[in-house]
This record gives sequence, C-alpha cells and structure tokens, in this order.
Amino acid sequence: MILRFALAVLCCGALLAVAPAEAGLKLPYKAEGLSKEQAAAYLLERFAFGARPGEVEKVAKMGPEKWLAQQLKGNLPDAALEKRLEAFPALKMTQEKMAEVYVNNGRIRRIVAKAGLIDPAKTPRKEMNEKISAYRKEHGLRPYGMLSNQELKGQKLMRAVYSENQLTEVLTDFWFNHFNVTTRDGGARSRTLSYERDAIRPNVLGNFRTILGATAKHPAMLYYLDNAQSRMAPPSEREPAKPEPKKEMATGEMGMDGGMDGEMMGGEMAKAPEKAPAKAQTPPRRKRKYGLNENYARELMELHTLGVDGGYTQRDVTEVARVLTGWAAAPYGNGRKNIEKQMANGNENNILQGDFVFRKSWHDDKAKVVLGEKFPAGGGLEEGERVLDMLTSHPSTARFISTKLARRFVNDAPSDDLVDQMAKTFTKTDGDIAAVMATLAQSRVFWAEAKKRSKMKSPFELAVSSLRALEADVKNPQPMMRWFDRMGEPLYGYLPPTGFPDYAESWANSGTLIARMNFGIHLATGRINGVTLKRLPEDSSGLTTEEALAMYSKLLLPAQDTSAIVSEVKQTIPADAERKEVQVISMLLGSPEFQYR
Amino acid sequence: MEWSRRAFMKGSGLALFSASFGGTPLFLSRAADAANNPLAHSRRKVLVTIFQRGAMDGLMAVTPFNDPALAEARPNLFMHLTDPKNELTDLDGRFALHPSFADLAPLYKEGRLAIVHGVGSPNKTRSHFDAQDYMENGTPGVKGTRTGWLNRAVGLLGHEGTPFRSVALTRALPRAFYGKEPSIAVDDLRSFGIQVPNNPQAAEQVEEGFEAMYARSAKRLVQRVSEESFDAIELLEKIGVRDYKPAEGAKYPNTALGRRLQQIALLVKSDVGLEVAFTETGGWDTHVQQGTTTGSFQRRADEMSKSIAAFWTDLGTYQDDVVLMTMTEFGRTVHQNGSLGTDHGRGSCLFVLGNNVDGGKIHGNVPEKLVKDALEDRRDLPVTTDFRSVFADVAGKHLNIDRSHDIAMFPGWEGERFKVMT
Repeated sequence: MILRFALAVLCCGALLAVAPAEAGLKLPYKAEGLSKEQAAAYLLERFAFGARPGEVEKVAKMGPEKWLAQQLKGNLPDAALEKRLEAFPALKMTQEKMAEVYVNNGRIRRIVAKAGLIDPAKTPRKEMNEKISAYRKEHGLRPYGMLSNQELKGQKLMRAVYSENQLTEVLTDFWFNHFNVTTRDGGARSRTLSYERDAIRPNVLGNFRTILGATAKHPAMLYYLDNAQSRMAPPSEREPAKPEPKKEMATGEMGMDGGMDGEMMGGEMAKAPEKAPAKAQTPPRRKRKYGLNENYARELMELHTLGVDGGYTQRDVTEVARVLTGWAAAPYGNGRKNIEKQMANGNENNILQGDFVFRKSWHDDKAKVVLGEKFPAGGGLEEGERVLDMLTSHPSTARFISTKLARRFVNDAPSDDLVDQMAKTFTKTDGDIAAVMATLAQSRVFWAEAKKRSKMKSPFELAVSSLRALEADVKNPQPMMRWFDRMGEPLYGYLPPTGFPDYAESWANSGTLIARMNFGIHLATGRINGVTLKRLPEDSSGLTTEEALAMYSKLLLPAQDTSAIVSEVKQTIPADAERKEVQVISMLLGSPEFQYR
Repeated sequence: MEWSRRAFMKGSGLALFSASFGGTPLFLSRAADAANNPLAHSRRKVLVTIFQRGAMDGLMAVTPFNDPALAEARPNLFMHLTDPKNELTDLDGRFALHPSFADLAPLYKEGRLAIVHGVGSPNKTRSHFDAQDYMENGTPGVKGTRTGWLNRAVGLLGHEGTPFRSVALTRALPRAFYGKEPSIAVDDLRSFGIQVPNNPQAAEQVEEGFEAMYARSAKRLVQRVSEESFDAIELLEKIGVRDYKPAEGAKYPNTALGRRLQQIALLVKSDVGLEVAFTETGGWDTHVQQGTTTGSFQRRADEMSKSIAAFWTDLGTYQDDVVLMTMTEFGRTVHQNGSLGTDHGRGSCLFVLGNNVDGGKIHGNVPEKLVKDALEDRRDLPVTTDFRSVFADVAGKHLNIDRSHDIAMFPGWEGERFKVMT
C-alpha cells in the first residue's frame, strides 16, 4: 500500500515542476465523514457531469486524489470522443474557412445571382430556392444555421457526455458562461464555435491572464461587446472617410435559433448596414462613425475581472475603452493578405495575431490614467496588454473569480473563508486556475457540502448527468436541444454578457421545473430521437419495482442513502405496471433528489 | 404503450395524496387571504405585447399614400390609393392601411386603435439582435442591463401576483421578461403539464406521483415551485385550455400567432391573474421580393391583423381590461433595393389597441415628403418618437404605474411620456 503510494508520487514527480498545484493533493473527505466511494461520487458530481456506470468504484479504487490530479491536467486520451466529433467538420476549420463554407441565404442569393443562375427580383421564390440548394450541393456550401445550431451545440453535448477530461468540459461550460457571448448576436454567431474552441477550452485550466487575453482578442467577443466598432478617428479623418471594407461582416440569420421560433427572423441581420443595393441610389455618403464604445471596457471590469464593486469608476471605464481602441477582428481574404504584406515590409500600422488585429490608426494614442496608473502617450497595443495584466493581478479579481468558481463548485452562497483561501492561491500563483481549483477541492467547506447536495443542476447538467448515468448512445444530439430550450437554458443563447445566473432560484420556475420532469419521462420512454440508453433494455427486463429501484437508484444517485427516495418512488409505481424500469427511471430522473448535485 | 393507464389507476398509493390536492388552487386561496392583495379574484388590467421580429416596414403597413417622393423611391412597392386593386383603407387623408391589415380598420374607425408612426430607438444600430435587445431590455445602447422592461414593469405593480401574472407565449423566455419577477414562458399552454407520450391518462397519474414526491421534499425551493407549478397545471385544466372555444365571431387564423393570442384571451377571460403577456411573430425581414398585395409582407400582415381582430372579438366584455401593443425593432429603408425588397432602416410604426386608447389617429411625426434630405442618414424614415416614451405611457397608464417610476422602468431615460392613452 505504502509502496504503491510512493510509486504514484514518483510517477507524478516528473510533472511536479510544471504544475506544482497538482502534486500531493489532500482531500479531507474522511474528516467530513465520507467514505472513499462517497468522495468519488461527490467529485464526479462536481468536477464532472456525473458518474457513468461503474465509475464511482473506479475512481474510488484509483483514489479520488489521483483522479482529480488527472482531471486538473486535462490531457487524458479521448479517442472515443474524437471519433464522435468527426460528425462536426467545422471543428477542423479556421474561422475564415467556416465563413466561406457556411453561407446564409442573403449571401448565397448574391453568389448564385452573380453566377447568373437567378435574378432575385424576378425568379419565382420556389425556383430560386431550388437553384440555390442545387448550387450549395455542387459547391459544398453548407447552410449558415448548421454551424451554430447543429455543430456548435452538438459538439458541446458530445464532449460533455463522452469526454474523459470531464473537468475540462465542466470548466469550459463555466468559463464560456463567465465570458459569455451568444449565437443570437449576428456578429458573434459564426465565430462562437471558434471562440469556444480557440479562446476558451484550451485555457480553462491554465492561467487566468491567458484566457482573459484570448477572449479579449477573439472576434466573437470583439463583435458581441462592440469593441470592434470602438475607434478613434485616425489623424487623416479630418478628410472625408473612406468606407471600410466590411464585406465579411456577419449577415447571419436568426432562423432555427435555439431561443427563438424557427421562422422568427426570416432574413438577414447585419451589424453594419447592408451593402448598398447595386443600382437604386448613388451610394449615400456613409460616414464611418468614429467614436468610443464602452461596452466591452465596462464588462471587462464588471463581469470578467473586478466585479461590480471591484473599485473602478466610470472614468476608468472610459479610459480602458480608450486603451482598447484599435483592438479589432482580423479581416478575411485580401484584407488579411494586405496586412501580412505590410507587416513583412516592416509597416507597423497593423499588428496581426491570428484572428485579431491591432489597428494603430484606430487607436487613441494620447495619455491615459487607468485605476490610478499613468499610461504615457503612444503606448499602442502594449498598453492594452498592460491593462489586462493589471486587472489580473488586482485583488478584486482574485476574489471575484474565486467567488464565482466557489458558487459553481461548492454552493450558491460560498463562505468568505473559502473565497479568501482561493483568492490567496489566485494571487500567489498569478492566476493559476488549476491551483485555485485544487485549493477549493482541498478545503473542508467543499467536502462539508457533500451531504447537503444543495447545488441545483443546470438543465445542461441535469441532462448530461442522465445521459452518462444511463450510458446513452447519442447518435444525433439535435433533438436534445429543444429540451435545453424548454428547461430554460438555450445553449449559447443567453443574451446579456452576464451569462446564465448560477443559483437555484434562476433555474427553478413553474415552467422549467415541469419541463425537467418531462425530460426524464421522454428520455426513459425512448421519445428523444437520436438517443438510446444502453442501461435500459428495449424489451421488458421483467424487473420488479424493488429490483428496478435498487438498480437505477444506484446508477443515478450512486454512493448515497437513497432509502427515502426509493420509498417515495415506490409509491408511485402501480404493482401491475408494465415495464416498471421505465417508470422507475422517469420518476427518479424527475425527482427532487436528481435535480441537485 | 409503456405507461399503462389501468395499471396506474390501480396504484394504491396515489389515492392517499390526491385528496389533499384539488379544490381551489393553492396560490389563489393564498392570494385571497393576503390582506395586501385587494385584487385577488378580481379582474386585472392586462397589457398584451406582440413583438414583430425582423423589422416591419412601417411605410408599407401604414403608408403615406400621396407622397410622390415615396412613390419615386419605391417604383415596385409603392401602393397608390387610386388603384382599386390595392384596396387601401384611407385613414386620415394622408395615411392608408395596407389591405392585409384591413381587419384592424374598424377598430381604428371606432377610436380604439391608435397608430404611432416614426417610432423607434435613439440608438442607431441596424442589427436585429442589438435593436431587439435594446427594445426588450429598455435601455438603448446599453447591453449590460440584466433585466427586461416588462419584468421591471411587473415589479412596479405594487401588489402580489399569481404564477400567471406574467406569461410569454414563446419558446424561450423573451429578453423583456428577464429579471427577478417570476414568469412563465411556454410555446403552447396545452403542453404545460406532465406529458407521457401517447398516453395522456398515464400523465395524470405520473403528475400526482411527482406532486406528492415534491410536496414532501426537503428541498424548499423546488417544493414551493412545484406546488405553484401543479396548481397552475390544475388551473389550466379547470379553465379548459385544451378545448377552449373562442367567442362567437372570433375567427383566429390557424397559425402560431393565432393560437397564441387565443390562449392569451383564454387566460384573460379566466381571471387567473394575468397582467402582462408577451408573444411574437417573425418573418418581417423583407429583403427580397417584399411584394405589395401579395408576397411575404402581405402574408405576415394578414396573419397578424386577423389574429388581433379575432383576439379583440374574443375578449368580449374583457376588452375594457386589455390593452394590446405591437412593437418591432426598427423600420426599413425608404428606397426599395435591387431585389425588390427593403433593407434595415430606422423608424417604423406600432399599434396600440384598447378602449382607453386615444385611437382613430395617427400619432407621431412623418416628414411631409420622404425626400432624401428629410430622411435619417438620407435613407430611412427618421425616428421621431422614442419607443420608451410610448411604452411608458401605455404600460404606465394602463397598469397604473406612476410616472415617478418611469426611471425604474427605463433606467437612464428621463423623457416625457408620449400621449397615446386617454
């Protein structure tokens, strides 16, 4: 035993140097009266989307500490998931490629018209649609809605259900919501998949400064919170403005959106005015609107870092907005090539970093004062980086982030003491998220919650934990999406930058609680297309109510005292009911107990 | 059939609990007991709102039919009063109703329907998302506002509510309802309840099972919410949401909007405590082949006006309690585009219907001639009335919210109410 422990330490030794936080985890579950199995089950509810059959035993056997250490690294092989993700080709495309392949109705109409196949003013609608869909097929162009509806949402569900790196997925859900953008925003919509893939997921266990910088520079965020439009008039602006090439601007479509009725929007949406119709008018003198937009600067401090009472003023908001003028989305196509060419020639007017570009000519280069610190004139891109550094190391940020993590992982009203401990780690490690998570996991407060199970599952957590416990084979994730809508969590569909509120009252209202019960019934009765449950035989298993209850309460509420819920459910199952297991599962999934973790 | 009705009926445990439920819905009896709630069991004032998503072309809905500048800007979309094929309804010698809104014409002539023209947002965005967001959160230009204006309005009512106080007939909770006041968002009231596929009888039994289980739960929050939920379900059954027959002469179109307004009418007439209702209709984004007497605009207008007219007829004596208001995120370009449609613009128009409305009038301000120099950014119908000033007047007067609360309803707005209510 001792030997095995020593070996484990030795094995981990090589990694110690890179990630000190993961070494020597001490989880005080025994002190809170929990067995190893109970500790494993609790960890799987909090640091994963619930236990799969046999997983509690597996984690208990390997040791909760070791399991957690693996999760904090987040690099377990994930072959089975990778296979399932092949159904989502966009995951392998660059943002620009996605923009090329997934085209909305407005754009495809223009393309097909240009090819001379239709005349939008004359061709009858039906014929026009046929021509368009034939053209799509021929050129491998996919409908715009597929990107954000089928692929983006589908991959989220698949990863949550099947990934071995569960904590990475839980934290991806957390950090996405923390740095919320939404596919209902025309500017963010086509870029949300890339946002999660490139800015969020790779950084969820890394350094806070990294994920902050990645979101700050991602076009989805730049458009969603309008920083892409926040710009100073360039020195040359005193002359009439040249219209900016903004062809790539998102002209999305709202149809098929999770949060909205299918046909609600019907047409295109554009942040920028559409291109002027070819003939109708002499192009209006479209004056480029210069001016500061404070949306991002405000939310950067209020929601992403310091918190609303974090000690900044309206003056700071304005100053940070000025600092961030010129932070913009890289153009596609020739625009990008031109910038690359300029950079190669030593021209520093634009600095390209992946999908981000710093446009010097849009930047307000005068002196500024942020949170009491002086920024001399001419700081350029670097002064924005400096602001992000300052915000990361600000004590308010350490507290704010720690509070939010504790609220997600511990309870709705985390104790000051726990938040203090976490904030201390945050500060000491310069924002090492894995280290902060390790502090949380090693606190007594965290383990004291195990028996209370006071954290209400979000609809996504509820659904995914059901699918995992019953070993679902999700062939098509799409039919699940309307359940998320009904239960009050349309995926990627929360409009304000706050993200979904993370406390029980916000999830439980008359409509959504009933929807949760209905979800369980539909899942158990096989009425969610595309999903089959390996733990539920297609034909009657012939189990008695007691047998079914024993079996499924263990799967759904492992390592817990389920005597109360078992007797509750038992009363609802008639003695001569057919397929008792189906009814047992329905009642368990909809039970108050299963709504909590 | 996996849920056997027979089997469930025999379930012995259920009968034990069912006796303690049923009867007067709990929230109603609670509400009636509450001394601070004089309105319990009495009729309430109801504000019904319809969001036209996609941006309705206000200049086609209510068209200045003798403006030569508009005729010139819209060679294919302008509708001449003199052309009998158009069947426009002349409202005041200057504006005419599109023929597909004809069902609303009698309401206008009776003085119950008001139109506000040139209404819109002070924020110039032409993005559907941003403009809808602003119109629903009630703070143009400020995205970070957490709550929606209708939720704030409900919070200002100053009395207790029932679970049906604030209802959205939509698939997801609309932005206007975000906030701490409880709301129900459901696409179809008939689906509000426990559903066992293909076996409605079993559903009742399962429902009782859940009801009992939740009633005894130690989780106080879900225990309370479930009690309200099951009361609500029971109430919907009692008022007959599944077999509701509209009043004589109310012919709702067989469409989503028709059904939704019909269900709102039922709630109003059932005295379940509805005070604010919201629903939506899409497809107003007419970039391509907008059409005049036929086409995409016409179909939408036809559905909407028939739905509203049926709703109004259906209300019968409840008309005095209800005001209905429409809204759309912005208008469309004055000039038609190259695809015989119109693009994203600025000002549009909205309808306010009710017996306490200053109706039979076109309120607001539309330039005499829509020549370029008179347009906003030389392309759009100028926004001359801030939507908040209209919303504040309608919600404020009808729901009895004092002027001094307008700033709470629309944070950051210090304008005057636009007088559209009597």
